[in-house]
Amino acid sequence: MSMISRLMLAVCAVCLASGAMGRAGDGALDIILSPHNGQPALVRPGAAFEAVLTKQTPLKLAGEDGTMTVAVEWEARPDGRYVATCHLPDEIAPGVYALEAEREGEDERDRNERALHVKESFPEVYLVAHIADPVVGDGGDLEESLGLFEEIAAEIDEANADLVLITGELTANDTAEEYSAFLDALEALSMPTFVCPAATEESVRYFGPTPFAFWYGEDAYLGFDGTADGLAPPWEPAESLHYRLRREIKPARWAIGFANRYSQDFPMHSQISLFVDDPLDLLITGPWEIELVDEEGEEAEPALPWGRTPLAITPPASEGDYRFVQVSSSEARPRAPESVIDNENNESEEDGAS
Amino acid sequence: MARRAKLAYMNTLLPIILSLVGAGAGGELAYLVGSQASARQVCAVDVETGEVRELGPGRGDGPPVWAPDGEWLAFETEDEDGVGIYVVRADGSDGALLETESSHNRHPQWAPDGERIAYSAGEGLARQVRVHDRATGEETTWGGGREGLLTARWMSEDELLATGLTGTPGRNLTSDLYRVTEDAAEPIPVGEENGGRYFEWAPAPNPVDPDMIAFESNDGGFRDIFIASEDRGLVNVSNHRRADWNPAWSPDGEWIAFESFREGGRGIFRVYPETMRVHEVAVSGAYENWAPAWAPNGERVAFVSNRDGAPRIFVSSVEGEDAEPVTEADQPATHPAWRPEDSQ
Repeated sequence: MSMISRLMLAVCAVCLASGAMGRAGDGALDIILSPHNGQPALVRPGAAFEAVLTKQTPLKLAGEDGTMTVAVEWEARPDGRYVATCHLPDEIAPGVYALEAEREGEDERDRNERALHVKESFPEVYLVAHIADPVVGDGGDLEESLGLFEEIAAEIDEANADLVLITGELTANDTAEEYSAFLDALEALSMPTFVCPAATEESVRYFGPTPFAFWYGEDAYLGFDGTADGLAPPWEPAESLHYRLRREIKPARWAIGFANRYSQDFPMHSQISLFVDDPLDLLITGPWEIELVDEEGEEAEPALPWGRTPLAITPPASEGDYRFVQVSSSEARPRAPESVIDNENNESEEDGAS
Repeated sequence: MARRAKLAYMNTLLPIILSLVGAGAGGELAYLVGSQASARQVCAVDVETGEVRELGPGRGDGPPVWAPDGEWLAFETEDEDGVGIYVVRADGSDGALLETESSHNRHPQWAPDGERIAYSAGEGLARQVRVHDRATGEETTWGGGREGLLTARWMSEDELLATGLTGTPGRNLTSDLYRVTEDAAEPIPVGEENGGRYFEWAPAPNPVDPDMIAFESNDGGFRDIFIASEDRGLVNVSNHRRADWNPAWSPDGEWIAFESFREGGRGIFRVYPETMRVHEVAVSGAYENWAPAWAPNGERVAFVSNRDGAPRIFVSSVEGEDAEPVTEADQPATHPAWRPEDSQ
């Protein structure tokens, strides 16, 4: 065996070992609850980000140039979890990092891939992609449903989207196999991906609780389950969280909500906070059924019943659809939905014509 | 089964804890227990002894409401078709769903006569107020059949105070206060005609003078607690740049407890409307306190706090002193409601 082959084998072994220690055995969140590849931290060099862990464990960042220890300040929460305020060095290279938790000599290891995106700056004009209801495993066919998602991911990657929002039904049956497949497919997207599932006990195990908010440059995004059944952790009442998160992102240039769907039975103080007293500038959701008529009795475009928050409903990814939102200082404008199936048809028509 | 085991454990342990901390001052609280919405159950705890009784079916029960005589409770619970109104004796016996036309019924409220129960019937925003008479078994639609009446509370034997929708969905829909009788739903003018700008919510009639109404509104830019009465007109009694929610009158009608974010997280305050001076009841920067419920004698307050992680019911003096837990730390408990004093 040549020296190069041995070196490649060693690299592969290291990669496999790294993969094996990521999340729990079934892909669920383990020691590091956040950030992760569904709620990554977006930070400038020299800035700080917060991580939430189940154990107070030393943290490292793993990037293209190797691994570095993170300077951390710890705080214990009443619910038994630990908040680590992680300070990045000024000289850290921009790029994507995995966050590792490991206590040497003990069986305490975890690694969240694509947990941290270090960026020198955030663009004023950028492109957001929204994927709704990928429903991996839909129709009992894991491969087919994953295929559609992967095609959508490829188109989004090709369009150089800066940010991807994924909402709604991630899997058909809430199984570990489906979540694991979805996590693998997520790796096709190199840009930050924020996943806001329709809350189930399993979705919380894999992607953490909702609601949550994050900043992208001057803009802020608030992900939540817009139904009455949304699972907030019982120790953090959802209505209170919605109010506090909305207040935290009030200074944003644009405050954009993204949710699995909207239900009129969504808790009223949540609706008041997000759509009435401080209306979001845009709400992007997955599909939901509502029949509205205008004053002339004609079918009207779906809209939130109160407030002035514009609404964009993206058709489901499980049918090949997704959407871009163009964000600039003058607008946060949802484009018409795109479809990989239409593209396929168009391509095949073109192929046929040629 | 696990929950039943925990409740049995609670029955044994909590009296010991309470005797050690000296929290016992009498009274009984109904509340909701459970972390999953679909399995929440109404229980009652004797504040002095810590003894717990299971009262609801535990299949997604809603907040409990005591009948005026304290002998019965009503609350919503999930059934096969939707959400029904469940009525049960205080000892947990004779529990049954009301027979209703709609498959979705929420927010039950006992009439002062203790025989009738008002509730919101229907789905989404097209809900109506209906009244079920337990003596006759009849269900009547109130408000002249008006749709968009979302919640209702009794002002007298023949009047309800409701939140009702006005305007056009997607354009200028908002919520106003309505005086609801069997035949009509009339808007209650609060302040100037607002053209759909202000959103009124959580109205509460004063228990001594029901024509004095406390409610929350964003009239003035921020969500505050207001009082509307013939004597004083419309008065903002909480006035803060951060939100104030869910007013609750003291039994003597002199004070209002409410939730506020003025110290960061949600906390409980009380205001004396005559002077508009606000006092702290349960406030912390480290955790949240909410859902204040005045004891029948007006000297204590029950509330929910997540100071130990999961939400837990505490009882304190109205000044916020001597706060002690009355439910277990690992059983999420919310929506406390004091049993009326006459029954104990």
